[in-house]
Amino acid sequence: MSADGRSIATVLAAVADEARPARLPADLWSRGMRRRRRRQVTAALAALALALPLLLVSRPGPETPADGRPAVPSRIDSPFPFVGTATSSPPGGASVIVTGPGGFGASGLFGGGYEDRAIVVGTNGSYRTVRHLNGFDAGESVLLSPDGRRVAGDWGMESSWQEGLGAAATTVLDLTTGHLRRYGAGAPVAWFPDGTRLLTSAGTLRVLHLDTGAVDDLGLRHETANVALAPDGRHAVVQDGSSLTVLDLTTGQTRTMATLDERHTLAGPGAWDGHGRVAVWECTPACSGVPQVALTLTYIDADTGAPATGPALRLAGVAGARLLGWQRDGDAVAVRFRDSGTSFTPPTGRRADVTAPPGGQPEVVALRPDGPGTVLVRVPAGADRVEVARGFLDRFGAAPASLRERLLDWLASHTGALVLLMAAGAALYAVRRYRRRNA
Amino acid sequence: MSFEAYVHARNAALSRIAYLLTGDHHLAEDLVQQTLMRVVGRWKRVAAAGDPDAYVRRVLYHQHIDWWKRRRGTVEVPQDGEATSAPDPSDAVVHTVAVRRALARLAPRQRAVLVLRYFEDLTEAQTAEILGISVGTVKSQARDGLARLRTFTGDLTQEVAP
Repeated sequence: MSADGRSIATVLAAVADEARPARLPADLWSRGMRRRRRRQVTAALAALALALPLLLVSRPGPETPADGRPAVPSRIDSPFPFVGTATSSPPGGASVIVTGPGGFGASGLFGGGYEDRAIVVGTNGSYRTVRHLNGFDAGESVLLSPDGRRVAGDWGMESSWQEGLGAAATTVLDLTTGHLRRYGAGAPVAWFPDGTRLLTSAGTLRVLHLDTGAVDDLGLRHETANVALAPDGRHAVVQDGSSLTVLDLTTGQTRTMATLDERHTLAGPGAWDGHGRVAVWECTPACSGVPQVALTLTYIDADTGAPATGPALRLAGVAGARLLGWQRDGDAVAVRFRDSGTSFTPPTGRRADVTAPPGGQPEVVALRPDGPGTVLVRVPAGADRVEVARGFLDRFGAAPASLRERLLDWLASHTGALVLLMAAGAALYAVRRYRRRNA
Repeated sequence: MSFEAYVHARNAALSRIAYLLTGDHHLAEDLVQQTLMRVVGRWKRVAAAGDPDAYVRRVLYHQHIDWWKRRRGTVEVPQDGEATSAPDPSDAVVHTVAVRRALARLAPRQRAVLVLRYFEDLTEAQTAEILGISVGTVKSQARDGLARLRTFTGDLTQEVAP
C-alpha cells in the first residue's frame, strides 16, 4: 500500500471508531417482509400494465357470429370518445353504419364541421369511425357493401382526396384491412348485389368495376333521384322526377316503367324485390313538403309497368321511410324517420322526398302485413341516417355490446398507441435510470 | 445463520462502514436499517449461499449511492466530525479533521472505493465486484479520490491522529 493509502487508512479507521452501532427496530424482519410483499405487488401491477396491450393484441376480439346467426345489434350507442378508426383498426366487416351531424361527439378537439364521422358497427359488435364525412348520409352518400366488408364514399372520405381524380370520385374503404382505394368514377350511388361493382354518378350513371377500376358510362342522366337495383344486378329502376325508368346495367338501354304522381315515390334502395315487383310508397297527403305522412307500399310489375299485388305494409305518423329490402319470410325492412326537421325546408343538396327527409331520429323497423312496424335497431341520439348491409337483413336481434365489451374493444383499437406509450415510458425510465447510475 | 444472529454479530461493523460513507450518525443508522430491510426478503437464499456478509455489504454500498443520486442537489450531507469536533491545536488532529472534511466532499462512488480499498482493505478486483464496476474504474476512482484529497488537504502522508 502506498504512503497515501496507509495515511488514508489510518484516518478512516479513526473516523470509523466514532461510529455507534445502529439502533434497529425489534420488528426489522417483519418490516422487511412487508416491504418485500409491497414490492412484489407493485412489480406484478407494473408487469400487468405492460402486458395488457400485448394481451389485447393476442386477444381474439369480439366473436363474429357464424353465418345465419344474429349479427345486427338491436341498439347502437354513442361511441366512446376517441374510438378507433376503421382505417387504423379495421373491424373486419360491419353490419350497420350510422351518420349524424356532429359525429356523435367523437369529432375530436375542435367540434364538428369537416371532422364529422360515421359509426361503423362491426359484425362482432365493435365500434369504429370513418372520418371526414361532413354532410355525408349513411345509405345515400356512404354505402355499406352487401357483405359489410367495404364502405364506399366520395372523394372526401378519410381525407382521401387525390390530385387528378377531381371531386367526382369514389373512395372505397376495405373494413377487413383498413386500406383505401380511390377511383375517378363519380360519386357512389348503389352497390351491386355481388359487391364487385358500384353504380356511380358523375352527371350520368356509370358502373365501376372495383377490381380493375374500369368504368362503363351508361349514359343515363342522373341528378338526385332514387335508384334501386334488381336482386340479379342486371337492371336498375331510377326515379327522375315523376318518371320511373328501367336501366339495363350492361347495355345502358332504358325504358320507361311508369309515371308517378305526387303521392307516389320509389320506396328506397331495396324497392326491387325478388318477385319482379318494384315497391312504391303511397304517401298521404303527399310525398314531399309535409312534416308527417302515412305511407303504404304499393307495387308495380317491373316487366310490364302495371300495378302488381303485394303485402299491404304501412307506416303512419312518420316523417319518411326508406325501404332497405326484404327478409326471407316476406317482411320488409325499412328505415323509419320520426323527425321531419324543424321547418321541413330541405337544405341545399338534400332531397325533401320522404325517403330522405331533412330531419332524423331514424330507426330500422320490420314491416309486416298484420301489424305496426317492429323496431329492429335503435340508433344513438344525434343520428339522422342509418344503413344496414343488405346481406344482413335476416340477421337482426344480436345483443348490444356490453359496457365491458365496448371498453375492451376500445382498448384493443388503441393497442398500437398503448404499446408505443408503454415503450416510450419504459425507454424514458431506462434512460433516467442509466443516467442516475452513471452519474 | 439466522438473520437475527447475523444482525447481532455484524451490526457494529456495518455501522462503521455506514458512518464512513455518510459521515453522519443518523444517516448511518438509517442506511444500515434500510440495507437490512432490503436483505430480509432474500435472506434465505443469501444465507444458503454461505457468505451473507458480502451480499449485505454490496447492498449497503449500492443503497448509499442510490440515496446520494436521489437526494443529489437537494440534501447536503452533514458531517458529524465537522459539527462536533473542535479544532485541536496539534497538527495531527488538524490533519485528520482536514482529511475527514475532504472525504465528505468526494462523490459517493469515490468515497466508497476509498472505504473499500483502504478501510476494508479489499483488492481492486473485490472492490470492483462489490460496486459492480470494472477494475479500471476502481483504479481511476481511487487515483482521482486520492488526488482530490491531496487538493483539499495538501500532503496526505503527514502524521495523522489515531
